[in-house]
Order: sequence, then structure tokens, then C-alpha cells
Amino acid sequence: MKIIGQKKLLAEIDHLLQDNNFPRYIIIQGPVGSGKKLIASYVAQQLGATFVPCELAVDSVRDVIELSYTQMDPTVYMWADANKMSMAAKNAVLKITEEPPQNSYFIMTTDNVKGLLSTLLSRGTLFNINPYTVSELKDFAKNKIPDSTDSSINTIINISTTPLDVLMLAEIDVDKMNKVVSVLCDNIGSANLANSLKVSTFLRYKEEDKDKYDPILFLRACMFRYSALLKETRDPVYAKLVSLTSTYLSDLSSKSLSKVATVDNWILDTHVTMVSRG
Amino acid sequence: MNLMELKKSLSSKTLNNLYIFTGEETAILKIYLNKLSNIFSGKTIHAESLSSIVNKLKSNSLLDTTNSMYIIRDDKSLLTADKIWASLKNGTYQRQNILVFVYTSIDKRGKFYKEFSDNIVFFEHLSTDVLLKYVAKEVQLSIDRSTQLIDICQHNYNTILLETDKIQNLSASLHITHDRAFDMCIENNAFYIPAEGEIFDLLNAILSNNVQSTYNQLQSFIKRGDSPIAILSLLHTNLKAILQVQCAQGYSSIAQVTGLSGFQIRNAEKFQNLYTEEELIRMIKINRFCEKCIKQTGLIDINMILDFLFVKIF
Repeated sequence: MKIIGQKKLLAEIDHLLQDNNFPRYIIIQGPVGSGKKLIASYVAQQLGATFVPCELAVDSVRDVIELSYTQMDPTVYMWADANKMSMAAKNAVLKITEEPPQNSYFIMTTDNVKGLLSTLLSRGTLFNINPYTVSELKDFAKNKIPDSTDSSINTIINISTTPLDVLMLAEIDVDKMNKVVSVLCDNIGSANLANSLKVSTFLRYKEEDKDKYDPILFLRACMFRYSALLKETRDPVYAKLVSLTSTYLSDLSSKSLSKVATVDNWILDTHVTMVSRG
Repeated sequence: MNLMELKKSLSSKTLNNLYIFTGEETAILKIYLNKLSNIFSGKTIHAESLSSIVNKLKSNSLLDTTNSMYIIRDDKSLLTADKIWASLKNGTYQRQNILVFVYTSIDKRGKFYKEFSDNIVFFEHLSTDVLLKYVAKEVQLSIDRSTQLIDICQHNYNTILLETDKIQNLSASLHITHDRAFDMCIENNAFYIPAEGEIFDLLNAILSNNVQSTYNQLQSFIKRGDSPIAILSLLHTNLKAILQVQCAQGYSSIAQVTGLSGFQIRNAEKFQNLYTEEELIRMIKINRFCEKCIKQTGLIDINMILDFLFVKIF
């Protein structure tokens, strides 16, 4: 099990483990793809416990809780993305967090603790995944894509914030994506709108489209391009586009909104902004 | 494993300790689950997930020596829990028990499918010839009518069972033949027709810039209780395609400029030039605002959203 960075967090966990004082119920908070499940399985490994990823459905939660009372061997139960649990499921977990049974450990992972009940939050010990440093991501990228060029590595670390971002970029031709980004961003005001909207066909909206670009990473690359143009030209329109792209990036992070519609609307807004600038 | 192999193993009563059933033909899937259950001597238990029965499977208790068949539906965590796949495949996990995982669908390109392809049985819609035999078991219809029924039900055995039940009840209450009952159902539009076509009627009315027709279709849309989210999603795709096709006029290859398929282009061309490009952009943005209202901000109630959308569009 190779964990990148997170030295502070691992030291904190190891310290509690060494003191035989590891809490029975913890919450791990961090962005998507930052390694929350990996940390949870690390905890299970260090405790010498069976690691059981569990379903979020209320019946499944109740079954797990019932069974945990009959369990003799150390077991770590993990609910990933616990913020997605129904209210009934969260309340079911609440009961067991008051006094967890012997040999049972419960871990909830979430990208935002605001999605949990305040009572669930107050009973657990919160561990935060720390932001990855540029050098950590760079080392990870070099390790995962040993044949990549320096310019690819630079692009990867400029637009990645988590190891999952790096892994996704490792699957595609980053230089080719950069070319698409430059052509789109530099010409969106003068290019035919039909052609600009075609960009959506290069993006990955379904899990199986492995060779396509992740919309979030693509928009981050566009934002990075506009930041570079702003530095280069000092033209305020690019500041406006950086801010616009940032708003759409936050919409893309929302799991409920259509990603296709988000990217298309970003293209339309960017096109209109550039056309009105003349 | 295919359906024939499963059939053979059931008739020879040689059961495996792991089955994974999937597919849209749920009625046939249910028949085979019952067959498995009948052949298996132990008790059948329905479980939520593998994690919920993990302790029972691991248990060495003398009180728990009875073998069981566990039916587990849509256990999504197993699809990614690759660490336990080997134990499942070699049977150490299930010991003397049988595990049957039932999934609504399985991605054929995923790792899980590749790992368990020998254990997965796909229940897909059956051919007309096979379904004719199933229909004959339920009702006495002429071959032509049976074939028509199969087509109406889109080869879905579950729907066929519901419709043959309708025929049986009508025939029994009016003392008429099954053939006559079938004809009466056809005459009175009593057979179920999926609502997808009707959603497209509303969509076409909006794209045709036909206000009267849009509001007429909206009434039946509301009566059916269809979801506005579906129409917002379809509307976005179609407005975008029309905008792209309109903007690409004059180019020799519209497909190359837009990235749309031939079907999408032909469909968009039916509605081109009924709105200007500026109007289309505005409509896409209003559509987006409505989506955000429903899914994110809650600014407008979902039941009011289409009224709001149409007032803004027209």
C-alpha cells in the first residue's frame, strides 16, 4: 500500500494506534480522489482488522450495525461518501456511534462534512486529507508516467489537485489535450460556434470513454490558459473569463447538474464574452 | 456462462457456488432464481449486500451448519471490492453456501465483468420464436396475434405476462375467446405503450415553435406525471444540435464541423431556422437556469418549472 504525502495525517493516525487509543468512529474528509478510502484501508491494515466497505442504503446500514455486535474479530466498516446517506441511514449510524461494540471500528468518508448530521460529526474524530504539494504530485506523476515529457508533467501538475487527477491524466495524451485547449481558448471568439460546441465530443461524460478528457480537468486547463493569457496581455477580458470558468468549474463539481449542459453553457458564455469584446 | 449452460446444469442438478445474474428480462431471471431455489436443498435467504452476511459466511458455529443460498441484489460495493474477488471465485468465501448476485446491469467493459465472465448469466429479451411458446402457456391466441402482442410488449416477458393477464381477465368476465379479448384491447388502446413517444411530442412542439401545441402537450405531460428533468435534458441536446446545424450552414460537411451523427443532423434539420441563433442561445441558457432551479438552488418549484420555461421561451 503506497500512500503519497499525508505525512502529518499518517503520523497522527500512527500515534493513536501506538497508544492503543484509536477511536472507534472516525470521519475522513477530503476531495474526490484524494485517497480517503486508501487511508481507511491503511487504518484497517494497521489494526489487523478485516476491511469491509459497506452500502449506504438504510437496510444495509442496519444489517451491518446488527452484525457488528456479533463480531469477534477486529473489523473496520467503511461507508464511503457517507454524505449521500439518507436521513434514516444517518440516524441508524448515530445509535452505534454512541457506544460502538468491541472490536468494531466505523469509518465514514466524505468530501464535505456539511452533508453529515452535526451529531454524527460531534461524536466522531475528524481526519482531514491535506492538500497535496506540487512536489508530491510531480513525483507521483513521474512515477506513474515515466516516459512523459517535462511539458506534459508541467501541465499535469498545473491542473491536478489530487492523485486521482494525475491518474486520469496519465490515461490520455496530455499534449494533445493542451493543443485542443489552446485552439479553443485562443479562437473561441472568431471560430464558428458549431465547431466550438463540438468540443463536448472530446470530453468524458461516461465512465467507459477512457480515451476522452475529464470535463473538470479540461476546464481547469482552459482556466490555466486564460490565466497565462491574462499575465501575457493584461487584457481584462481574460480576468473575466478566468472568473467565469471558475464558476462553471464549481458547477461541474456538483453531482446533480448535467455535465454536458455545464460545459456547453460555458462555451456559449465564453463565446459571447469574446464576441462582445470585438 | 450462457442461459443454455445454466439450463443444463440445473437439469443435471450440478450447482455452482457462485452465480451472477443480470439483464433486463427480469421475469425470466426470476423463473431461474426459483428453479435454483427449488433444486437447492438448503434455505434461501435474501440479503442486502455481501458485507451484511460476511459474518454468517465466516461463522464456524455448530448452530449454523445448515447450508444456505443467499440472493444479493445490486451490491455495488462488490463491483469495486477487487480484493475479495479471488476468494469468491475459488469458493473460500462461500464455503458450502451458494451466493447468487443479481444486478440490474453490469458494464461489459468493466474489470468485474472480465473477472467473473464465467459466472455471469445474461437474461436478455428472448426471440419471437421462444416467446411464442411462453405466450402459448398463458393464453390461446392465434400465431399472428401472439406475434403482435410480443411486438407491442417490445419482447419484454414481464410486460407480456401483465398483458396476457389482462386478456385472461377480460375473456373470463365477458365470456369471450382470448382472440376476441385481444382484439378488444387493441381497439380500446388497452395495452401499455411506454410514454417515451409522448415526451417527444412535447419536445417536437417546443422545437417547432408551436405555442398552442406545446401547451396542449404540456397538459397530457402533467397528467401522466412525467418528470420535467427528462424534458430539460432532451431539450438541451436538441437545442444545441439545432444551433450547431444552423451555424454550420454553408459548410460542405456538417458532420465534420459539428461532430454530430447523421441521425442527429437530419433530426436537427427538421427544426432549423424556426428560431434565430440568438434565440437558441437564450433558450439553452433559460433551460440551464431551470435545471439549476430544480437541482441546486430550489428557486422554482419542480411543478412550476415547465410553465416558467415556456413563458420565458415564447
